[in-house]
Amino acid sequence: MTEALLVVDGLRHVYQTEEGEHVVLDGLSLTVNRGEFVSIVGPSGCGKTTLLRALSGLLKPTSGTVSLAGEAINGVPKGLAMVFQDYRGSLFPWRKVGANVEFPLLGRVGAEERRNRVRESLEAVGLENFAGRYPWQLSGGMQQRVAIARAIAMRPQLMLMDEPFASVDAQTRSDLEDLVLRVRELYDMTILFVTHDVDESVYLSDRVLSLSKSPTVLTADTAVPLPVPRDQIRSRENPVFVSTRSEIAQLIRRAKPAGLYGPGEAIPTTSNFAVPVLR
Amino acid sequence: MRRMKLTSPGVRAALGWAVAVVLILAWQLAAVTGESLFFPPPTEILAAGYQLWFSAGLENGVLTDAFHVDVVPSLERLVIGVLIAVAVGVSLGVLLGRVRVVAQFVEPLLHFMRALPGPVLLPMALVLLGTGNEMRIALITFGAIWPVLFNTYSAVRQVPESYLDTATVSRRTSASTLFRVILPSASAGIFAGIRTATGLGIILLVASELVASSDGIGFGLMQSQRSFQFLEMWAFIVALSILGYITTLLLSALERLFLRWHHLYKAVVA
Repeated sequence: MTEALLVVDGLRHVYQTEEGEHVVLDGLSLTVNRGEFVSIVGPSGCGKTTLLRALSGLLKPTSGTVSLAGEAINGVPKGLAMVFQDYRGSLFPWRKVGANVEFPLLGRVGAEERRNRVRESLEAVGLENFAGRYPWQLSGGMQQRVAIARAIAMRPQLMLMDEPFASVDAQTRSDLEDLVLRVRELYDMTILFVTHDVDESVYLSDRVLSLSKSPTVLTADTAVPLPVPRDQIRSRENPVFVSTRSEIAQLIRRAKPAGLYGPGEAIPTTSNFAVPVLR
Repeated sequence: MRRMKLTSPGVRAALGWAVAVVLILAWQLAAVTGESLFFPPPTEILAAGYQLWFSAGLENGVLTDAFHVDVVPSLERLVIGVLIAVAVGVSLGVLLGRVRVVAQFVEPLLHFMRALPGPVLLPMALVLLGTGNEMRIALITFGAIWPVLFNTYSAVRQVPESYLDTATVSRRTSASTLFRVILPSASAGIFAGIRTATGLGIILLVASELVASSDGIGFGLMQSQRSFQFLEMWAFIVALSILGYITTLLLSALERLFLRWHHLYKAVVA
């Protein structure tokens, strides 16, 4: 039943700086199954963005492999869409909303099909009446919805989202979270979601992967046994939500460079949900 | 804050025209009372210009033969020279802006060449390219290319990295990225370069026509001055300023067409 869609094996990335080598990712391995919603959380500066750039083909990792649907990828793979944190920088101000959504389809999909997909994608995010506006005439939350519509229009196997709601207000944020859950349901999409917000990761995900400080490794793989569909009020009151969130919050607070524990610290053995992936 | 005071655009335009009209009236008055041979009144200049270029009659298409000798060759040179400058300047600017290595090698040389005032090359151009149209067009191109090139270069370098990332994850080809992302993003800067280039082009047009030519506005200007036909000389000067004004209008129209989004965008974002 579960089919691995994204397999990352031993991903390592080293930046050359003037002081020498700076190891950002130090042998990350992870798997995302088809249809899953997986979040990645970690302390700030832990190389989340580097990881996502490596997965999306924007950055060539120093070593390690990434494969999507069984194919090793080199460069930007087919079937992948990305939603960036900075919607202002990812929507083209000279293209109207509809034309921005259409952009990745140009030259690949026939005109008729393009029109349909643009309309459908904008409907999915509730912006069907805004195709003729410029993105900068819309609010921040609406702009991020345009970016999501553009990702949907690509009909991706995997949608990568890089802290997509970090720059919108709280109300808009919970609306967008529910929107993403709806869209995922609608299109049966697999989503890998990077965030620094523990609550958000628990609310949205089937699984949460936590990272250490850089040099970054995976510290735990935590299942979120919260019933679906999720609800902003009820899900967050659920004891499972509360315990999972505090578990992950602890994982992040305890995160050290390259692991969870400083030298000599005792390693606890019991955990409700989290599967420690570290020695 | 400073622009809140007097002025809606309409009021400003009206004020501008009013000032122009007052100045021309003053000129008229001064010229009529002064009766200097060298400073004819504007009405006479306009009449002379009309007589010279637009008196062929409706059935003959209004424009006189003199128009085809005096004005048309200049227009051709200007248009061709500026178009070549734009094509070459934008291409080189993009190349420099996108390929760091090329920029490192070529940039110092380009700054050196840009520092040369165009008219200085006139004697050399005469020797190398002769007295034909090629020489004049080459000179216009040489003078006009720099603002296009450097504006394109800097605008292309300022294309936000995030736009390029978006193009990359959308799996665009490099050609598609160039035409759909880099050039639109740089278009406002490129356009500013084209405006400056056109102004320089007009200067070099006239300079090139002052020497060893047999037609064009610059030639006509020189010729009428040498033959003491001051009315015609003034008509040529007015023709030049009108040419400059029309090119400005034309460029503004083009800009409104292609950069409408940019003006609105700046108003919203700023």
